[in-house]
Amino acid sequence: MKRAHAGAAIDRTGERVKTDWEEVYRTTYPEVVSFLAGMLLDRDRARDMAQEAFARVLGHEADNPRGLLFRTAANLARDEARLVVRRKRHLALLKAETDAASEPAPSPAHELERKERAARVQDALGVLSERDREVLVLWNAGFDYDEIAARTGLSKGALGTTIARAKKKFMSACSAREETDAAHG
Amino acid sequence: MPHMDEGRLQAWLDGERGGLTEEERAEIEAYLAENEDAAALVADLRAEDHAARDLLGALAAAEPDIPDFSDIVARARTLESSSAAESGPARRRLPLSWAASVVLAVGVGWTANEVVRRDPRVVAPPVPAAVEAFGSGATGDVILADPVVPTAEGTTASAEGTPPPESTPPAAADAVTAVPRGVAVAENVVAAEPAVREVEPAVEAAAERRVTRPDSSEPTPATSRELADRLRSTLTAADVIESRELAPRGTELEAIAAGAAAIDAARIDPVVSVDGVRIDPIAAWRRTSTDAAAEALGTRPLRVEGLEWTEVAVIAIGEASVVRVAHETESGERVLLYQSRSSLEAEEDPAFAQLSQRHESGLALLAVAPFGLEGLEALLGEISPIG
Repeated sequence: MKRAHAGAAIDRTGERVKTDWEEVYRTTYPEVVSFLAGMLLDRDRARDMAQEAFARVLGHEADNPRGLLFRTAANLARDEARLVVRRKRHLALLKAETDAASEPAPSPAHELERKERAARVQDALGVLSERDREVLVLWNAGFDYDEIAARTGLSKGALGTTIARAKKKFMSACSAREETDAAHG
Repeated sequence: MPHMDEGRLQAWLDGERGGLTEEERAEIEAYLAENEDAAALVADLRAEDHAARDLLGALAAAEPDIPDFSDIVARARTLESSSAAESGPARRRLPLSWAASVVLAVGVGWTANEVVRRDPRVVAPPVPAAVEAFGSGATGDVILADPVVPTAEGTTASAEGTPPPESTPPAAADAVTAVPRGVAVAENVVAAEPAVREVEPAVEAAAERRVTRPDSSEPTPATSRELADRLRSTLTAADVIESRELAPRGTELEAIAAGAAAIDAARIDPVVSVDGVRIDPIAAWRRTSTDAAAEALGTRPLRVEGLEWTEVAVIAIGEASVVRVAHETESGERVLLYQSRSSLEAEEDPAFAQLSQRHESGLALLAVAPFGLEGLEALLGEISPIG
């Protein structure tokens, strides 16, 4: 038996067997949460929405379970982003999350370091325009240009430029944040 | 050989998903073989790819324990049972605590319906009658009939307002997406009342205090915006915040906030007509790509230079297609540029300045913005195709 995609298996006769969503869940959950956190800048909401995405796809057969999952997650995130209230809450949530992530936790030092790094990354994503952030997160999740163009309204021909620009801005924001943190000890 | 810009090199680096043709890839590869600067640029881009992916991976690395898979299974069952609870069109229940938002959303819908009912030319969203009371409110739920069976991917379903499952914290999406339903279902408002009556007294009182139905003897307002404004004048953000502070009872008050968001959503756009047919401001515009918009218009959609465009949406009214390009100013004001092969006009609205002109591409343009005409004229002087 060979694997077509994680969780989607085909047997020797080439027939697909039932999608193993539990395996997909185990291997993909953190990625889906990070994808949604990048889109929404709200980690708690991202966790809830990731579970919602898994619940929605559960029981569906898919040649590419990961693709179906990320498309579902992206759709949920897009609908969420439409909310007027989200825009209004955005900055407050970002600040609250960053504060929470920076709080000394009763966990090992490397756990704290990981949280701080994640907070820096999330903060840096918040510096990007909504569209650049969306493009970058979709690109990182493995979406192809056709799908990114359809989701963001950008022309496919302009995507390479947008991705390259968004990457630079994002990394520059990460570096700036890192320097600021280092300066503050 | 033409200059190879960074965007094309990025698309080449992204391989198959970059969408380049075999010929384009071969052309780039030949160019890279001959051009050291371009090859160095590709090396930089590749390094940036790795660095960016590594950094973004930090978000996943920081994710703590994975919740038990049985939680997901339970959640999926909840989803299934809520969508299968009724036969025929998919139906959904809103928890009792959400009835307040329905009160508000239906209020907006009722007022918007006045426009629909009195002017048959108004194009309402393609949503069938949807709100009905659930018995005498024995369960206290309100059921919304959903015209679209929820899909796994959620696009259609959530775009049409498929609710989060009951275990999901209340989201304003319900109220916001309930607004267009309200337009189509206004005749059922009276029927919905018994269920609404089951709302806890405090919430009911709050809702009644804030939502005032226009008396039948009152003159008919010209636009749904006017009515939405009237509603909004009795429900401000400050009210919501104050209510939260006085009685922070979570979901009920969240519902009121969601209602306010629904009203906000209803007042965002002006009432625009294409070939004399009014497009309801809360009709179902479909977000689309610039390529698809270009196909609908027969030419590239236009944008205002110097502003960030945030969304391209399209709607078909009869044989006419209208594309709406939304922009945002630095101070967050929304500038809308409607464009069509057919004639466009907006209803007069004191909240917006509007300006029409015919573009050299043959498109009729209508720009609408919440600031002075002078500023709008300046903006319209700098129009260019997207992409």
